[in-house]
Amino acid sequence: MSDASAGTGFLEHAPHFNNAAHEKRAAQMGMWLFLVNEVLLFAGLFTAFFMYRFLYTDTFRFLAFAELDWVMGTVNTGVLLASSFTVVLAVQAARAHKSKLVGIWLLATIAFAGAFLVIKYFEYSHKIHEGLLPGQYFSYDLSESIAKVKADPEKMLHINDANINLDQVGNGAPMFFTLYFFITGLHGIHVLIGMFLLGWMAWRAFKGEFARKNDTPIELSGMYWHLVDLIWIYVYPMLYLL
Amino acid sequence: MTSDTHKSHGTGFYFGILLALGVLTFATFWTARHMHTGAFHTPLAVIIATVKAFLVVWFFMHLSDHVSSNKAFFLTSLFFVLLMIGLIVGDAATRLPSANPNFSAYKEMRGPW
Repeated sequence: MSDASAGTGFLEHAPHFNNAAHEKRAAQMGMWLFLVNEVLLFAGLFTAFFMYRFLYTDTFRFLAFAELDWVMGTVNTGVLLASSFTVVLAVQAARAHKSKLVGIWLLATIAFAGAFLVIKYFEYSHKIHEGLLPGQYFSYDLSESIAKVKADPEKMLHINDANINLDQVGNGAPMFFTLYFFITGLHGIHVLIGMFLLGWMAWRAFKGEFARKNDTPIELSGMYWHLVDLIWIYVYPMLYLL
Repeated sequence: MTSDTHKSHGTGFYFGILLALGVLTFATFWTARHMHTGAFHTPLAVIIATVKAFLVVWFFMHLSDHVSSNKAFFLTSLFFVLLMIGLIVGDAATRLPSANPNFSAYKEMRGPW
C-alpha cells in the first residue's frame, strides 16, 4: 500500500510530533482513554442495575420476561453488529484511500443506526402507552400481567425453570423501568451522537478528503461507534434476557 | 516511516467475525431462554457477552494492531469495572438482612443469583 508520495497529505503531521505515525499513535491512545471513560460511565449504571436486580430479583426477572420484547432486542443487537461491520469496511476503504467508498459505508452504518433508533421508538412508545414508566410515573397493573403469564403454560414453563417466584413480583418494578430508560436512553443518545459524527465523516469523505489525507479520523470515529455496539452487547442480555 | 501499515485482514475475515458474533448472540438468547442452566445463566450470559466484546475490541477496533499501552488501558478498565460491580453486589449479598431496603427479596441470606 504505497502512500508516500509527496503532497498527498498522508505524511503531514503537527510539528510537535516526530512523524505521522507518532501522531496517529497519540490519536489512537487519546481515543482509547476516552472510550474507557465511557465504559466506566456505563459501568456505573450497570452496577446500579445489578444491585437492584439482586435486591428485587423476581420482579426484575419477571419484567424482563413479560414486558420487554426479546425479538426487538435481538434484532437491535443484529442491527448494531451489522453497523459495526460496515464501519470496519469504511476504515478498510479509508486505508485504501477510496474516499467515496468510505462515504458509502458510513452512510450504511448511519442507516443501521437509524433502524436501531426506529425499533427503540416502537419499544418506548409501547411502554409509555402501557404506563411502564420510571419511578413515580409507573402506572401499570402488574397483577393483570402476572395473571396473563399464569394462564399461559408455555410462559409458566420458563417461569418455573428460571425459579421466578411470582408471589414476590411487584416491589421494585418502578426501579426496573428507571434503570431501563436511563441505560437505554443514555445509550440511544450515544447512538445519536455517533450518527452525527459518522455523518460529518461521510460528508468529508464524499468531498474526497480521505483520498488526500490519512485515515485517522475514520478510524477514531469507527472506534467510537464500536464502543456504542460494545455497550449494547452487554445491555442486551442484562436487560432483556436475564 | 509511513502511516501504520499493519497487516490488515481481508473483508472476508471481518465478515467471518460478524458471523461469529451472530452465532454468539444466538447462543446468548438460547442459553438464557431455552437451556436449563439454572443459577448459572447470569454469569454465563456475562461470559458470552465478554467473548463478543473481545471479538469486537480485538478485531473490529484493531486493538490487536495497536501498541501495548492501549491494550493495558482496556484491560485495566475492565478489571476495575468487574471489581466495582463484584464488590458492590457482594456487599448487598452479605449484608445483615435489615440493612436492605424494605420489601426487597433478601430478608434471609441467599446467593446473588
